[in-house]
Amino acid sequence: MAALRAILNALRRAVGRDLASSFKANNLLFLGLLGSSAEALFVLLGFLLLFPLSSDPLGEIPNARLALWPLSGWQRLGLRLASLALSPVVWIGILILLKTRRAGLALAFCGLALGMQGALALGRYMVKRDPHWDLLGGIPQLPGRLGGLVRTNVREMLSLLDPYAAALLSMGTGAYRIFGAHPDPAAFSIAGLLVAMAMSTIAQSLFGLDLDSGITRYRLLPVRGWEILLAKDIAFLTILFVLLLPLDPWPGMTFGIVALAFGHHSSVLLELPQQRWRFASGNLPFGALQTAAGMAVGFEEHQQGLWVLALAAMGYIASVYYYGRRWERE
Amino acid sequence: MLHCHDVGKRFGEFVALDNVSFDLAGGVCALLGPNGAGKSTLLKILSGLLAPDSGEVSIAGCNVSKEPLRVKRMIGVLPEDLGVFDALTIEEHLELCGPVYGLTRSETRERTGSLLRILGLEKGRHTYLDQCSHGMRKKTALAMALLHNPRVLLLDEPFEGIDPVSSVTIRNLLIAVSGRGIVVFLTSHALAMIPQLATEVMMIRGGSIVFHSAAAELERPLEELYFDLVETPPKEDLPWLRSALS
Repeated sequence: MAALRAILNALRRAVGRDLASSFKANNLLFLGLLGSSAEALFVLLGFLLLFPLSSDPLGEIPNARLALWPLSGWQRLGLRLASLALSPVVWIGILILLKTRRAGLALAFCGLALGMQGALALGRYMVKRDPHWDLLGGIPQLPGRLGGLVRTNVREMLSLLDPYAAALLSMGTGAYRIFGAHPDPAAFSIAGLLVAMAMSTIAQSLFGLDLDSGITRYRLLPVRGWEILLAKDIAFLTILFVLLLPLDPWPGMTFGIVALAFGHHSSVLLELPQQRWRFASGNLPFGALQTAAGMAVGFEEHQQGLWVLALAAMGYIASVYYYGRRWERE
Repeated sequence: MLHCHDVGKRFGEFVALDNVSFDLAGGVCALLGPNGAGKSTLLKILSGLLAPDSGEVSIAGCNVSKEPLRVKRMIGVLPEDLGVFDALTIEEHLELCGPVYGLTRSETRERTGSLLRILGLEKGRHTYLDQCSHGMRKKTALAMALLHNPRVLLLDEPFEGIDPVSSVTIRNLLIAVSGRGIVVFLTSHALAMIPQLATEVMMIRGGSIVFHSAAAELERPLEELYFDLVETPPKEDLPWLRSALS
């Protein structure tokens, strides 16, 4: 019993830390300012959050370690059952049951989460069997001196959930554009700004997924600080541009450029480590500033035209040069 | 080629390096010392990853602090944390480095092929680094250090975690490249490997160099010297560690 208690205690801590990393300051939280009109967007985000939340809590223990512990069959069964109580999906399922008194709804929710894990497991199996299924692996190296760095960064950014939230927004508005009876043209600019906002937390933490090892490599490569930032920014803007294509791209691109110009500060001077397959976590006050500036300048571009984008690009160039120098000095 | 003069480094009250000085003109120099003695700190300072508090380091006449880009082009480094990206495969790491160091695509491809073959990485070339063993990760980092034909190689524990065949391959490779004028400076705990590899041996203890000699002039076995000068193995036993049957 003492052994099980010790393992469950460790599991509880690991799950708690994991949960905390899923709910950090992301610029998408500012969607809450839109009030009830943002409900549909939060449902979409909740759907994406289900992927990390529905993972097996027992998966926090390395398989080899679990297999080596001298536990009997009954103890292993007890551990398996007790670990279910640590799953956020079970908590939410119970909450749904208590709130709605509809067991079918709670079970359907848990089934959805289980289905997501099944889909992920199937995806992993397919990639293992045939690497062609690895979509991130198919990203080619761009030409030029920094091409390899751009590819690395595209892959890293696509291993966060933010681009997928942005993609859902983009696809939703794209569908409205195609199927809507009389789509309002202004909606595409606004949606473009929201797509850029969904991506903008990544711009706060451009080194967040590199960990110590990646940063060491950047320090060893014979490239200037601004070139390293530029490679990261090209990756960010490439993903953003693709996502904005079904919409009006320029207000969103303006937001993205402003988000990067601001984000260089936190990327170079603050340590904001990120975790793969989670939403990016940033700094809340800084994110508010970044979002407000991005929205204001992006909206101005929508009103005034491309010269605002050109102006934002000039500010961006100053930022990339200045923070490139800071990176070299750090 | 490698000049280190009065280099000092502190982390708060802890003295990591205390006025370390040496010159290397060529060959393979092995730096030995226990964990925490300052080996990796020294290697970081030599490669420009860490700025010294005092003293200066130059490589082929270029000051590491003042001309970092020129120095980075001349050195190949195997850092302590390897400097690899989990999101790239073994082969993609070399594809990334080639153009950054000014190699053409065909040069990169050709050198990548031979490095992967010699280091036994060919089979796993499409494996992501986060799915590789520690040894494969280390060999990838070593291949990255060699790809651009550096003038100086700075290697942190190149034999740690490496299988015996690869260790011998790496040892022979280092002997060969040093014979062709590339200076090799490495840290290691693999005392048995050093006499066959190094032309110079340095020992560090508490941030100070306590021994520096040509390997050919060692008067006693290296292990004996190390235990005398650097660290004596503790004699304490763990009597509670016994068979339950005895």
